[in-house]
Amino acid sequence: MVTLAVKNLTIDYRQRGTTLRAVDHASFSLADGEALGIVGESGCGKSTLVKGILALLPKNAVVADGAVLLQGQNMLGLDEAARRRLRWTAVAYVTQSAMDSLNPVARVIDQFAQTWRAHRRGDGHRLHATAEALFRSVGLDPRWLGSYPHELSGGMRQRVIIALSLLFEPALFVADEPTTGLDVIVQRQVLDLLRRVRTEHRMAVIFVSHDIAVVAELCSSVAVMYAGRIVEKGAAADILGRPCHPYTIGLKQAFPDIRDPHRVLISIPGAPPPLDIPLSGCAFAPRCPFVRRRCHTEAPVLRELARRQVACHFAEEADTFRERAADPSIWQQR
Amino acid sequence: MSSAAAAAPGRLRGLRAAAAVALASPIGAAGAAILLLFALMAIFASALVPYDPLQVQYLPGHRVAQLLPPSHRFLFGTTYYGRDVLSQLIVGTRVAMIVGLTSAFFITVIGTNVGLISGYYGGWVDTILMRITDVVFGIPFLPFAVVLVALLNPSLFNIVLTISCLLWRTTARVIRSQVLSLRERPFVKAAKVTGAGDLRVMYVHILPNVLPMSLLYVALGIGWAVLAEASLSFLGFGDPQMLSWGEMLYSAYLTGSFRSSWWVVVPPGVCITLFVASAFMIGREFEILVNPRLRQP
Amino acid sequence: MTLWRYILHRLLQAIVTLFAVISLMWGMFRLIPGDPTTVFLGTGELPPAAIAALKRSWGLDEPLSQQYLHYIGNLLTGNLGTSFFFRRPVLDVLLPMLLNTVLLMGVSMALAMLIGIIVGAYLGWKRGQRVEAVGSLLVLIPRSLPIFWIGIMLLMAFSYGLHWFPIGGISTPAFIPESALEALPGYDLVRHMILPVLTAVIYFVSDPLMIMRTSMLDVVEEDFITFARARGLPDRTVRRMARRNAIRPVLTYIAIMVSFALGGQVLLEVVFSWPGMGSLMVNSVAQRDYPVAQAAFFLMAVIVVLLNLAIDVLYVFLDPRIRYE
Repeated sequence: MVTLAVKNLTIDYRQRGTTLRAVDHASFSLADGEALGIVGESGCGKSTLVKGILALLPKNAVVADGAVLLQGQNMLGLDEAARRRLRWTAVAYVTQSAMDSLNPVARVIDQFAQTWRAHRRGDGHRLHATAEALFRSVGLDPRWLGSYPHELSGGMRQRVIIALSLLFEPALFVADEPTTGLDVIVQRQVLDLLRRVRTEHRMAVIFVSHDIAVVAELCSSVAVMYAGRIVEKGAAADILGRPCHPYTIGLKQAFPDIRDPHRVLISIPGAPPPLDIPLSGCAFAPRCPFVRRRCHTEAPVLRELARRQVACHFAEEADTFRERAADPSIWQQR
Repeated sequence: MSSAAAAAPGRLRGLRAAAAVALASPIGAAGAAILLLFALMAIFASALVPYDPLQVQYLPGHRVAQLLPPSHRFLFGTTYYGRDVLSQLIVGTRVAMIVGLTSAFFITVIGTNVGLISGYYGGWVDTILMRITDVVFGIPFLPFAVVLVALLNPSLFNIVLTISCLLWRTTARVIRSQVLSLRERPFVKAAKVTGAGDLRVMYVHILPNVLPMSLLYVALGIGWAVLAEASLSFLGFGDPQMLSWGEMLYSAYLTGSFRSSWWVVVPPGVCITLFVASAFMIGREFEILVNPRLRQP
Repeated sequence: MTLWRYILHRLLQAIVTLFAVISLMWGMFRLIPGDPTTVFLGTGELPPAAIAALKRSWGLDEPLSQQYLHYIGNLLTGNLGTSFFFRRPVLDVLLPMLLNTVLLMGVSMALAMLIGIIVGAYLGWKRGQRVEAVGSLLVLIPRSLPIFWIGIMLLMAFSYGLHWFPIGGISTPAFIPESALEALPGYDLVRHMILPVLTAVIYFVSDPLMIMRTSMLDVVEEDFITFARARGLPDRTVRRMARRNAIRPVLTYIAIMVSFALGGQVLLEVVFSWPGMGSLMVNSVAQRDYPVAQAAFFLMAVIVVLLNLAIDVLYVFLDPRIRYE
């Protein structure tokens, strides 16, 4: 069963006269229990994409096109009351700053109660037992239920958020950089927890991160975003093992590989294009070491190749690209 | 100095840049324009007044022109004592400008320095300065001003002195909390490491960054000072030598002429309101500068 | 630092501040040129011996330091002295006036805060919409109006013009109710209070309003608000959360507001002939009636300092993070 299907989602930001296209016709789908990782650098639109899925965009953002089908229902077509009912019951959302996601002036158990009351009337007496069970399942001592958020450490607060998100056993779990800002050990704990939770509850997961190592560990499929567009998507093993899009190739070069500790790390020079100028041609062309004339004039579309979808005119030559990419000098020419 | 200054955050340095930004918006520009008009009125008062503001006017037949409604002879009518209201209004601008500008200046200078020194040094310097500020906060302004002006003689100088002695307190607290957070920033630590002395760090590095806040309090200070002077004058503690809008209202109230003659009450009040409002409008622009989130999206 | 130690600490600070303020005021009063003997006894036609005797009876011939010690000693035992002007204990003179002032000030400030918080929260929530932009601008106007001018204008319009309200004072002498409405208890008082309270509210509403609005703007951007929405909490619950978190700066402001409110109160009492501490203070300064002026001032300072203390303590209950500073 398809839990989530996103079709041609396009989101613009309006700011004092200018329009920025943050997400450009993004499409993907997620089956039951599948874990999708969305990777890309800061500003590529991944956070906007997931906020758009949940209909939690700020007031100056506009959905210009597309549909979001959550368990068959189009989130964008529903009225706010219906969307509100779906939030947390069908889809949970955990963000990077879990430290600040909890109301600082309310106790943890009260925030559980508040969430419960927003969706279920009555059955309040079961709440405390449920909350305790959830706490234990994420590895927290239930006695912390009565405390205020600032009395807990960052990692603990992250777990509280995860426990909260399991309250209604949602079908979809969206995590936007949930481990960024945590120290390595806590990061490890949270990742293990997320993996366990996902298999135990059979949830579909969207995991957004700029860290492909983390995504590689947790996700079965991957979508790579650049300048608001999905440039490559498919099974994680395929994409991260043998990337076809030059940007993905570049990303991979930038991360250390434990099997090859002496490989030189290469960062992609330059910056993503500004989003207010409409692009002609491929968005990555200014920074791509393999660019050719066609790249500047014609925008590539996602097409099926080598068991995945990739948006590059010359993706057939991916093998050659990967070899050449190992040489740091080709990345410096821009 | 240039390299350290370049490393300092803060979008602008220099009063001119701040002024330019604040005046760029319609509200700030309107406020500045109104204040400019008042300034011109104050400077050219002697040339602008149709009559001597203190001279009693007479109607044909040697009757005092008492409480006449507005006419083309007396554009805003006359007071209980037969004096021209418009002339008094024009002359009253002088007091507003003098009291407003000088008090605001002192409030800001004292407050900014106290906040700067207190926030930067911390420790017992901070404790003492903040205790003093607490005491000053504990003193209700107008009652104290009444006593002080009774103690010294009612004069513009003493009024400005009184206002300056008390109203620096808010500025001090606000600047201090800004300095507290700026003190920990890398650019300050960098300046210290390169051997800059305390005074230099405070006035060359930190000060430019609290300047927008200070300017905000200059604008607010102008408003507060003019309202304070008007209140003191209304209670009868104004400078008897200088005619102010507050004194016009004092006279109107005392003589009971306000009951029947709106023209002795409305114009002075409108002038005070316009003056103070334009100062606050400029202040609003500085407030947006300090907290850009306040800018209309 | 635990809760009680924090409260104790603040209490001690408050006492020290109060002490400093009182001493400062005492010193200033003593410096006022002239003393009651010259003012009251007019042109000094009394023989010097009589003047000296009077001074002695009022304790004015003692060295300043002794006078100061006497004053502090008396204060601590609750003795506020005897009024030079009224020839009665100051406490007798002051207490009814104090009640009148507290009544008027209390009602005005409470209303101003309430309206300010509600409207400010509304404006902050409706960020980006026209009503917010216009509202934020309009608010500048009441802030710029001199409070006594508002009062005079209202008197002109509604008391002298339309005769809807009395022209001043706190009660109508020999009031005889002429209808069921008029017979309601407090009717006369309320009728006298409406204009002064209206004046005060117009004047004092803008600051809490703007502070609340700015605070809401800050809070609405915070992550826990987004998270609350993500949890599917209804809009009004999220609004309530935002308000609860946004209200703290407004409460801090109350302490400052009281200080200004006392000044405004003085002006109000003069304009509306309200028999309160404010007008009493102004008159006693003019008459050089030290004990009354000092006592009135002392009470005002006590109000301000105590309120500051109360706000600090209340703040701790509202923001659980503070205790651990």
